[in-house]
Amino acid sequence: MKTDILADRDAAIRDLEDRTLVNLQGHLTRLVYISSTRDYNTGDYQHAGLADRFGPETAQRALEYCHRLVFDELLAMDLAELVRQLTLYIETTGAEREKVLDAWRRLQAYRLLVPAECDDLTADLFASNVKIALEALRAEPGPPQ
Amino acid sequence: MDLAIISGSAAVLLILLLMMRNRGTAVGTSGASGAPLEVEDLPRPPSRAILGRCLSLEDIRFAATVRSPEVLRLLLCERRRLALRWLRLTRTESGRLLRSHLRAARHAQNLQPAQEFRLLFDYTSLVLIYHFLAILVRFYGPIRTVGFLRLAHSLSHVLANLGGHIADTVVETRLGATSAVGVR
Repeated sequence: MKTDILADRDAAIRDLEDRTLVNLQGHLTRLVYISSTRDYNTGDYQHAGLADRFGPETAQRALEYCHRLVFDELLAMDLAELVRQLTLYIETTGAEREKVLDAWRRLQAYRLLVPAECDDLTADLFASNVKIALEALRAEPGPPQ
Repeated sequence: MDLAIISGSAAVLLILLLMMRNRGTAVGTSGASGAPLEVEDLPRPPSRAILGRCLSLEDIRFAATVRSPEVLRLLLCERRRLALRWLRLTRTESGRLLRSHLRAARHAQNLQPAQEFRLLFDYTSLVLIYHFLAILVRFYGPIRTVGFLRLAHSLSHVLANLGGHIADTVVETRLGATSAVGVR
């Protein structure tokens, strides 16, 4: 029974990776995407396509797993790599670099990217790393427009 | 030599006194009854990888290459804050574990003095290393040489091992007591 649940979850994870995540450039972009599928009132992930194919519970488990995985990968990166990921993410938004940096600093939206079951200290380390990476990017002039 | 023995004994006595004073407080209990925590509810010290990250030399090297000195200042300030938070959490969680163990030990019939002494020794060492490391981390920033970071890493390794050992011993003892009750 438990093996079936895990096999279903793994199939849903593969599906999510092959259809969606593979098209997103960089870990931070993926993290922002997965977090955006989470309902902030209930903490549940909402992904219509995945839920249609695998059922809502399996889709939930797959998104939870992928969220934690991408988050852990980002957390393990050194600061230089995190700055590269942030640069890549800003490029994918298509928005003005300074505007994105300013909004991220003021609103601290990156705090919403943390998985629900993450402990306080780890969440604090992540937020702190992003904060430093944002300052590093602000200090460096952007590429010519 | 004599001074070291006296200081060590004084530290052990002080810790014992503090532990006695904290007996029966609500911290680390599952309710007002003061019952010991269940095995799955026992606290665990935080991961050492977090402190390793706080004292990362690569990140300092990177921040030093950024044009603004503000970035390096922010990095050192943030990492110092997080390292101190890790240290406090490690000590608090280990203390909670020990207090929970002491409460359970009051009713235990198969106490092993050697194991209890080892546990107390581990906790005493943990508290001493915690204080030393906390002082060391406060200097992180003005001093950030490779040697300094290596020393901090080594001590944090010892601290995390002690925390892990305390947790393992408490869980082992608790599981042993549970199975003994089950057999009876």
